Amino acid sequence: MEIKVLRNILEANDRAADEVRANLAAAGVTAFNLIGGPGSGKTSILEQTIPRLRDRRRVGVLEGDIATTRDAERIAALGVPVVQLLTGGGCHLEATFVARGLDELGMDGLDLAFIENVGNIACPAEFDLGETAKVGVLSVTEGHDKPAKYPLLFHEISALVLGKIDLLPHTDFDVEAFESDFRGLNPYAPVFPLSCRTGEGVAPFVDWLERVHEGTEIPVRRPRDQ
Amino acid sequence: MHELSIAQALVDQVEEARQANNGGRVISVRIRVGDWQQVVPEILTSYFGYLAQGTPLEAARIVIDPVAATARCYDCGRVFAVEDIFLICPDCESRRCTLLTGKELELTEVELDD
Repeated sequence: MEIKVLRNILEANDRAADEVRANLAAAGVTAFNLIGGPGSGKTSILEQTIPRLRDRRRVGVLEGDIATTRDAERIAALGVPVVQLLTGGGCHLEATFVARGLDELGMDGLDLAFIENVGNIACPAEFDLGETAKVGVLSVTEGHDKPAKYPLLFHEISALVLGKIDLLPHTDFDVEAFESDFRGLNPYAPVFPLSCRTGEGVAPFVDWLERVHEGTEIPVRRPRDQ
Repeated sequence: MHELSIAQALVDQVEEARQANNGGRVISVRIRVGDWQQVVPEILTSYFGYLAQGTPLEAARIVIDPVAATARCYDCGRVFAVEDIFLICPDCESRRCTLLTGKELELTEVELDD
């Protein structure tokens, strides 16, 4: 007996993501899902941006990792609430996990929430977490070929941080090739070249985060269903 | 590793379909997987088998129908196959294109023994 069905296999995750989105909206919280490879600088970017936001905005962080609380400790040192999400081997965060994390963090009294995904530029791109915007993090040491090699992530993101630009002279990172490839996947997302070492370029990224929170900038979201 | 999450979600949906149809053992499961989902069929199949052990799903054959990526150009309306990853219109070279297919991850058919 053959049974015809047509179901989105990730619909349970997507339903949970819709619930997160509704809860965030009700609480007036803007959530950014940071996706980048291990060592791309996601936590360092938070260490640079949070102190610049802290005086004006109430910020909370969910730290996704496979193991250890090291990143959460770095964030806690900034004096903002943080909840560590340990996947115990899982390569990405899913919406139900984020929902529990946000409950623990407490959305009331927050303006911005950062969700630092597990270091990985393949799997996290597929899972809607209910975030306001996905922000890709790529460092110049990873190479300019990454957009072409991981097209889904670079297609889905609403903004890209291009990190470690202080190291540009020491790498073979080809900025033109990167731009051309990236724009072939995503003509809309703003790119923020920055260096956490020197602080160069951090301010425009912080301004963008604030504009998205204020609603003066609407991040492009790729539709989940086509 | 995302195949594990996908396999778990699939096992749950197949079991729901099986129960809804008072079914016995599952013979095959058919899914559509878009090219852009970066799913490795062998890994998905092997996780499914692992998760289905000891259940009426354990002997199910997984049939994967790949779905090629296609896109539409906002500027000239052309619909085209995305052959070299980038979403660039082959006619007018616009980059304002949207994916039409390629992100599917769908359960389409479950075959049960009668």
